[in-house]
Amino acid sequence: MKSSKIAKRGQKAYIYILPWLIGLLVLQLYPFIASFIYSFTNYNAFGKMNFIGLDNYIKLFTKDREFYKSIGVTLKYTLLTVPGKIILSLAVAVMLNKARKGIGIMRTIFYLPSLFGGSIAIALLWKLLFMDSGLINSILNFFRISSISWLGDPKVSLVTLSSLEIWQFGSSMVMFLAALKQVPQSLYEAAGIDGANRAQAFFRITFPQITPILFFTIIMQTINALQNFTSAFVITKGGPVKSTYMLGLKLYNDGFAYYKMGYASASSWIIFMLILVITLILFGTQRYWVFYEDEVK
Amino acid sequence: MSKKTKKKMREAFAYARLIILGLIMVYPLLWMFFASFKSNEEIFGSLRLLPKSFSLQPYIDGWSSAGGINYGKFFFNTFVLVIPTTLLTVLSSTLVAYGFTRFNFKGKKQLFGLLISTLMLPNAVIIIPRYTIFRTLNVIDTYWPFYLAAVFACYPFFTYMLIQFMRGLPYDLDESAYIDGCGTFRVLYQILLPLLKPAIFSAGLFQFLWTYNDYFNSLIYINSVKKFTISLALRLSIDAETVVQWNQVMAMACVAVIPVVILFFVAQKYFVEGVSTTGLKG
Amino acid sequence: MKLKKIMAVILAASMMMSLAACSNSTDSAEKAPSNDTTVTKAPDAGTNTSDAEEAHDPVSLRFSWWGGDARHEATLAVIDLFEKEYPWITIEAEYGAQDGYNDKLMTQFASGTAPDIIQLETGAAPEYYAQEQLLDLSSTSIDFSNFDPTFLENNGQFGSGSQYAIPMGKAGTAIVVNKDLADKIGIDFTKPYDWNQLIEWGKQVQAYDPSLYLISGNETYMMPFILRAMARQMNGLPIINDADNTLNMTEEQFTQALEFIKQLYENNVAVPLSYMATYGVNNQDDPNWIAGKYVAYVGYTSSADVMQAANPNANYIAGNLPVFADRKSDGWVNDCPQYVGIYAKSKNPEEAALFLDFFFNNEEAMKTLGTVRSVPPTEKAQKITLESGKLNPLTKMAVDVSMQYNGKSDSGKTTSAEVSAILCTAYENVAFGEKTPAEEAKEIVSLINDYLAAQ
Repeated sequence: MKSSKIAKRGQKAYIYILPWLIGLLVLQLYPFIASFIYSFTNYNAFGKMNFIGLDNYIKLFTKDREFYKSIGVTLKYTLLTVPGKIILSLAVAVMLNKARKGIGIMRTIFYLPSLFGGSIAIALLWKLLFMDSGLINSILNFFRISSISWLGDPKVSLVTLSSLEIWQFGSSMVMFLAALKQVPQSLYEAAGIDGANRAQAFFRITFPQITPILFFTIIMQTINALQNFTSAFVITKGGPVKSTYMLGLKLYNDGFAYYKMGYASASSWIIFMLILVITLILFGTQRYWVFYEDEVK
Repeated sequence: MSKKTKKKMREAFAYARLIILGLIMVYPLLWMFFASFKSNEEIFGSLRLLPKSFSLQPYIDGWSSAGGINYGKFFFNTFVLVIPTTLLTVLSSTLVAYGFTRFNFKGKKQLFGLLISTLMLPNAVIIIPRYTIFRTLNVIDTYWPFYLAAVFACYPFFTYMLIQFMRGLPYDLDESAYIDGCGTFRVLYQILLPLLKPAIFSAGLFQFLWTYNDYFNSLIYINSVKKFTISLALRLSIDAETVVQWNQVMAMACVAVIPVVILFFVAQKYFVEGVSTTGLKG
Repeated sequence: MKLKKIMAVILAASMMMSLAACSNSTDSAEKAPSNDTTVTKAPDAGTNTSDAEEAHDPVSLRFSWWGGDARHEATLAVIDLFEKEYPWITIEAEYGAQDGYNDKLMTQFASGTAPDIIQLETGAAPEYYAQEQLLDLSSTSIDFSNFDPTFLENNGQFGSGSQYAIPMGKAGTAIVVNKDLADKIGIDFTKPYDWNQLIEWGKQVQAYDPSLYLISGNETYMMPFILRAMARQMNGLPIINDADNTLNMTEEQFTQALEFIKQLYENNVAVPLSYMATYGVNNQDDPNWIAGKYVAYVGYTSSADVMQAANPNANYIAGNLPVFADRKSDGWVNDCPQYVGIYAKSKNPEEAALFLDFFFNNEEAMKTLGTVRSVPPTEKAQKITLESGKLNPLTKMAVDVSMQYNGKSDSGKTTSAEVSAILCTAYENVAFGEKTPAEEAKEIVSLINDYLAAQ
């Protein structure tokens, strides 16, 4: 019978996921459980570890003045970077998907900023671009707009940081390029669409086909933004006046600078819950707009 | 306006857009490159892009590092670390992604949930327990922490990414192959893999690049300077209490980025190449 | 402890699985050189060269530090010298940048794998001492007779009466003055002066030319310059009393100190923090410093030469430091840019002590090290570096200035990262005008009391 054959075939899945199962048990599970246990202790990484119940969580919610501000900064950063990055990278990917002369070099150029990651060279460049007498302000002044204190004004510093993140949109772009390549040409031919109504073609054919990757990109970018640590750490250290003090940076400081690993673990698990809730909501929306082709029959 | 000129106009417009955006994108590399010829005073004191003079000296001085170790060794180390890690990651993630997408099995939903949730906990608090595991396995100051994580698909980003790409491929493909008598591995190898080429190349590219640039994990697991990778070496001479020769730092940053630029330039054609239609149902 | 046992069991369980699952990889790993401190492999250089030292088993030590190229070269050279003299000891050098240095060290402390000999950040060392990670060096063979006893007491004893860390260099707060500019405006930093004089001078500079400022300072250095120093001058004591976990500073005193900070920024005495934010602690990168638009820089003696190099056209001196007329103590103190210590769990503490003894007392080592860790900590090494011409005259002058004052170090809970962060935030809030000095003083008291309650 067909269904028993498929069920039998299903058993083989375990062989394929075996590497990950081992990895999960050996390398990933212990750190997970450990950090969960830490979050109920006053663990300081030197050895002291006493069970203190929910104290860490209670303190975070009732006493820690930086906690709510950090959550606000983190959410704002997420709202600034995720849509910005996704729209920009998708637009550029569509532009670069055409076979044009010199397109290979173009693609490379757009990926360049992402090649550097959070390197010190980039950190230095960013500071020099955005300092009070830097290039950006010189350009503004040329157009008779007065200078802005990009990294010093608490009202704009987060925007400046976000722009760095958005500027490094290369990996999302590559992902979209790969997704666009997976769209079968025959679909366009079948629909009989020529250059005239490309916008229509994009929304009717291309877009549905790349929704799995779009969804993936949104999920991953959201998770990364909510956990972000690097850009604030490298460029602003959370300042000025805590305006870029993201949760990722706060828990790093709590754990590694102030020796409150237990407390940092509690914030981590709150980030975990926050991400979980947002991810579940996003997963819930999937069936309305994400199209999969792989219903295993 | 005729249709033809209209099309030409549009084409020119598209180019113009790309070039302007491209200039913004490429500026940092140009800046870094020219900064490698500038004195510190020029770097910080002037907005000019071009240096006053050109000299290869920063490259020569930057190439060798303290203790008689030079960048040749650091490059070698980096490739010894990055290449196996990349290949193993792509291999294991592809297998696991295949297992998750093309089969129905007991506990699939729960395991997938676990896979995704391993992405959600911030890294900072699991550094110490993870270090403890690798210490117990006796692999500190080796590249094994990276290899092991790659072999056992502990980079859930890639697994999930390949899952999403595979879910974009119709199951009919597998089904007709099964009818032809293919086994599960042959379906993956002969039917799905060719279609996944862009996805696999981008996963490989990302893993290469991220491992190449990674500072924090390399710092934690590698002690000996003779095992240092490029990302660790680039910061070797940076110290707040001494005068940093930024031109040397920039020179080495430029040299360090060359392999990844080449890699991307070579790999990018695989995103373009028409693998797209063969064997796909319309 | 119960919890630790549970954790150990979980770890053991997952390790068992790993052994079952990937026995191959663990086998091969065991053969690979481990980072364990009891390395038994024979160092090639060791056993064959010396016949007189046959009694010694070969020992391998790990030594970690951060720094720039010159420091790496010099330290490696000293290691070579030492290994020639003690052929049975090999020293594995683990050096790098300061980025992440403490994080790595903490990970190693947590798993008991820290290096035997460790260069330590001054802010972090008291905590390492308190958590019993450092060896009592007074009980080792290290000879401290070249050091000034008061300097040692202030740096590395943490109030215990025993040496737990050795200062690697001499440093202190420094005001680097652009002498030509100061003379032009009529400001004299070489005379004794009080805090309010700074405000007056600042106004004078602004009246002379509104694009000039008296002080270039970043909050990381300005906070201790004002808050901690004022505390030491007001009470002759650090902000926090470590012995009984209480505050020595009152809320009124904090208000007074913060009021001064407010004056500093309201009158444009110091460059606005919003402007300085871009540069972090690297004031030398500021184009206005390079262009000579500031009269003075507030920082440490160890960065004086870096500031000097950024604008070599100007003529610099080290200025005197501000004091209250009615002070209990001068407040300014000779400290150090970094310590070195021995890991409490080191398997070879005697050999590690041998190395440190060599490092600080061998003349050849002194010559080799020069000033790669600021002005050397001992009189003898200072003389040697001065004679060899390696000592930067400005740095020397800055250290000499800071030695005129009789303050006592406040190293301890006052200098911990968490308390520093509380004070820096307060500094910033007042400087940006987000909070009043009175509000912030209240906040500081409550936050520090919270911190102390958790100790």
